[in-house]
Amino acid sequence: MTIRTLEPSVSPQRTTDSVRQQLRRALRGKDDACDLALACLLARGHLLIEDAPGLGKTTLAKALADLAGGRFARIQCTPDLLPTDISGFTLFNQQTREFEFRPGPVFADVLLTDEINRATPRTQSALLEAMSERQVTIDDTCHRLSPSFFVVATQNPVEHLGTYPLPEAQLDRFTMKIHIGHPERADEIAMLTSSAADEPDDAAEPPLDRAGLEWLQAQVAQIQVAESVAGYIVDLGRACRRRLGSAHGPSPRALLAWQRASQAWAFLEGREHVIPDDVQLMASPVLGVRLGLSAEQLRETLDGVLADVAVPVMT
Amino acid sequence: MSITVFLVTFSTIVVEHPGAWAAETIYAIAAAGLLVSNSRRSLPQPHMPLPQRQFAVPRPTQLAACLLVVAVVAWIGRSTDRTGQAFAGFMPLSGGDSWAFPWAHDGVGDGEQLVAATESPEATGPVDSDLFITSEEPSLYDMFNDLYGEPEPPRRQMSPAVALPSESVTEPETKPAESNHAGRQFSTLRRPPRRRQSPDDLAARSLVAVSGPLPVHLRLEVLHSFDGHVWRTDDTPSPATQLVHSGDGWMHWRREQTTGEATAGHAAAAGRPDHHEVVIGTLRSETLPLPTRTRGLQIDRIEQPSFYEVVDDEVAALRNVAVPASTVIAFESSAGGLDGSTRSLPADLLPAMRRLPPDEQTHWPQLIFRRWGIETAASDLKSLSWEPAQEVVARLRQEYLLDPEARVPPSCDHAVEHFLTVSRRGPDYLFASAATLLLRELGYTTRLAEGLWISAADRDLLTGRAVADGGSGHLWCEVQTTTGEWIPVEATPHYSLRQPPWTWRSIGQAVATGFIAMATWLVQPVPSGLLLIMAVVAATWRTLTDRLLTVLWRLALLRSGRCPLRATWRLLEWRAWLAGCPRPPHVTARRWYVAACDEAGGFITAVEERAYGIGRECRAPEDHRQLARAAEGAVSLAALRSGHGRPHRRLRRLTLPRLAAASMPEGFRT
Repeated sequence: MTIRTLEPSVSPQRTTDSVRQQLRRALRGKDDACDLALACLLARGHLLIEDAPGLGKTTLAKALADLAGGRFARIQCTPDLLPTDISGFTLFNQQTREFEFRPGPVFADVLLTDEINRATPRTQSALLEAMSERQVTIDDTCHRLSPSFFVVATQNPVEHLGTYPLPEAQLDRFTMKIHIGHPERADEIAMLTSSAADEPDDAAEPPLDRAGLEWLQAQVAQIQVAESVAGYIVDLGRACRRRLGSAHGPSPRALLAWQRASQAWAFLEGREHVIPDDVQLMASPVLGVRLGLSAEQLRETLDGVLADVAVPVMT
Repeated sequence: MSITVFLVTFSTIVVEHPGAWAAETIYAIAAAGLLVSNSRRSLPQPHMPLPQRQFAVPRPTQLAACLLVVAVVAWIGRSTDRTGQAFAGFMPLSGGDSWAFPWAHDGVGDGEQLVAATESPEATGPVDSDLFITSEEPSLYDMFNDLYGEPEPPRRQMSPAVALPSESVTEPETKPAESNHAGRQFSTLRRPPRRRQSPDDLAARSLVAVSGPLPVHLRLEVLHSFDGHVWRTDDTPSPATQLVHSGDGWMHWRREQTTGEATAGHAAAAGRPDHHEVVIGTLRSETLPLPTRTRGLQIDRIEQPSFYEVVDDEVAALRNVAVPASTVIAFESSAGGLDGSTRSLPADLLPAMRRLPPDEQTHWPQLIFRRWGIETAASDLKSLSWEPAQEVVARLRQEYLLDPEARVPPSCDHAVEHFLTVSRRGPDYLFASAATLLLRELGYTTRLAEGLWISAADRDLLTGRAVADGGSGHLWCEVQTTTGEWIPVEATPHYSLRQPPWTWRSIGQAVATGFIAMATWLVQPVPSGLLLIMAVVAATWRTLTDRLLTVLWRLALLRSGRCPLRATWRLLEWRAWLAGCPRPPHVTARRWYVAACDEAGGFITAVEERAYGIGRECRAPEDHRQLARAAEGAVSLAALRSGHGRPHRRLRRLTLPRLAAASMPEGFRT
């Protein structure tokens, strides 16, 4: 079912299920990764996909961009990429004798930044303002970006030559980081034996338009977060800071992202309120992008943090 | 830092107070932590710091391992065997005998003093030194007088006399011979010992030094008859044993049987003998300090039997000469005897029967036997069992108090009767006397032995030698067996006998005895009833508690509002606790209870709506009750304990929250 025009009679849950199924078709056997990516989109966040080459990072990013509708732009990051190649620039028009602003790809609704760690830190920093405030300032002029501006970045953790690790400030702008991993054997067989007719039709219209996405994001923002659950998030964050030190613990922005991601997950689960299970499930993708720990360290830290804080229960 | 280290080191040397040691320990721990922290800080930092682990509760296995290590170390420290001696070398100890010198932090008697024994012989062992030449040499009775106090002087009895006129009195030309031979006796009427305040008395005098298995009873004298106050030896002892040279430098006991045949004495006793070496220190005695159940002895090259004199049964002395200081005597002896921890005595060691003649029997022991429920044996038996003796020893050790300061009043007629029936407390000689007399009344052949008792705690782990001083004096009872051997019976609390090592046979006997005792106890109505009640409660307490909680839950269902949900939630929490799988505080209700019983999902959803939803009534009160009833039925105690899906195993996997699998890289997913 393709829903482009939003009607009051269409329930957000049915819309979400449709979008979710379409995304899962694009990346076989990776339902968890697809759901997390969708949750990140609905939470008005930005997504970093990190995994080895060939596992479907770009496929997932493109599928996500296709679902979201709106304007799509892609940047293939290279070491010679300049900040103006992302944000845009002003040039002097000889005919009109005036300076004209040429917007860059950041003005799209969905921006796919492929191999982001191949861009220099200077270029990476061009995304800081755009990701956090959804605006860019060029030549003393502030340009507003799309309200549903969504960055999907990919990076390859294996190769280190010619790459630049993302700085902590940049990482903190992302809402979550996900890994895809290798598919199961049955999914790989299905992928190899699938015919061309089963491939997603690039020419098909996206299931959502910009207005539909904003409507779903608004629905997500209305998911209830009880005070006890908010306190649970804060307690987890403080426990994490105690373990890692305040300089390396999650920032208040991280806690906000954690809450929004939990709301989005609760929305995907069909609930109107966030439960502690949502918070626990979102801990790894949300904190994993910004704590800068290895996978094993992250697992140990989160296991310890989650074990330190009691879950709020009915009193 | 260096100044503080210097000050702490200096104070460690100078200060002797335990508080200072505690402060130094805290300082050492803090300094070690600081050094580790600085070292860690100086290491090259990774991209991000490693997660800082907070204090973690040790796992049970870690705790058990620590306890095991502590127990092993404590056992090694307490043990007196060769392992303990070997480990003693790892610690900066050099032994000593409760004597300390403030500046001698490495112990007493080390180095040159160990060789020369220039200051204290008790810490070094007897070597050729002027100290031994000039030391006072106490006899056994001097030692007892110091330990127990002087005996009360005998009462003077005035007898009527007729005065003779002076002309009728004729002075003898020669004075009658005065006997200076002191009769061997021990009085149970004694004055309190004098407490000497002289600092020189603080250092104990080494009577003998013993190496070998401990504890050990060294017998010096034996006493046979008791008149109510004083123990005396036989006037004409007729020892049935004699020492013979066995050809290898050892002297062994040889017993003359009534049939005229001579046996090899106790050399034929079962098991390997224990070997002791006793070095005479300041003890002045003709009698050799023999361990109980001695099989043989050796004094260097003294192999002629004529050098020895058998004073009494199994009591030997050097003929007409006190045992010189520094004499080394080697002994072979058997372990075992009767004390509070006696497992069993060999079957061939049956106590000999010797019924007292009627004129020697007294009335008060029968009263005590009646009170203790001990039956006297029939007079036609030739041997007895050890059970009555064990009962007497157990009663004395458990129901009477060892009080070295207690004294029998001189006015009482019978010291042991007073001890057993009136005071119920006293020194060790009263326990030994009571055991000797009571067992004699039961038909055992008994005697009182005097000597030294050296415990395992007296051993210096570094030298492996134990030193007996004036406080080692002790008296105990001995019982003769049908083979003629004298078995020690230790009835005094806190004193023990050296037991033979465990064998498969003794283990089997102990297990069988334990089973029989347990079965005998269990067939009695009160213990069996209590046991039955305890078993029923242990088997059903969970069910009973669950039934009670369910009744309370049903009452709560009658109320409105949040009560049904809250009561059901508490019921589930209690049931999980009763089932042995309480929900950990960090695990959510959905993960725990839905994993245990899938049917609880609806109730958990309702609980989440009430707990985490904001002011929105999603369900009617009747729906809540319905969900509560469904959850109560699904998450039953039986389902949690052993129901379908093996909830224990499923729940155990959820102890730590399962993280989102997709967020973890391949190979690290939980």
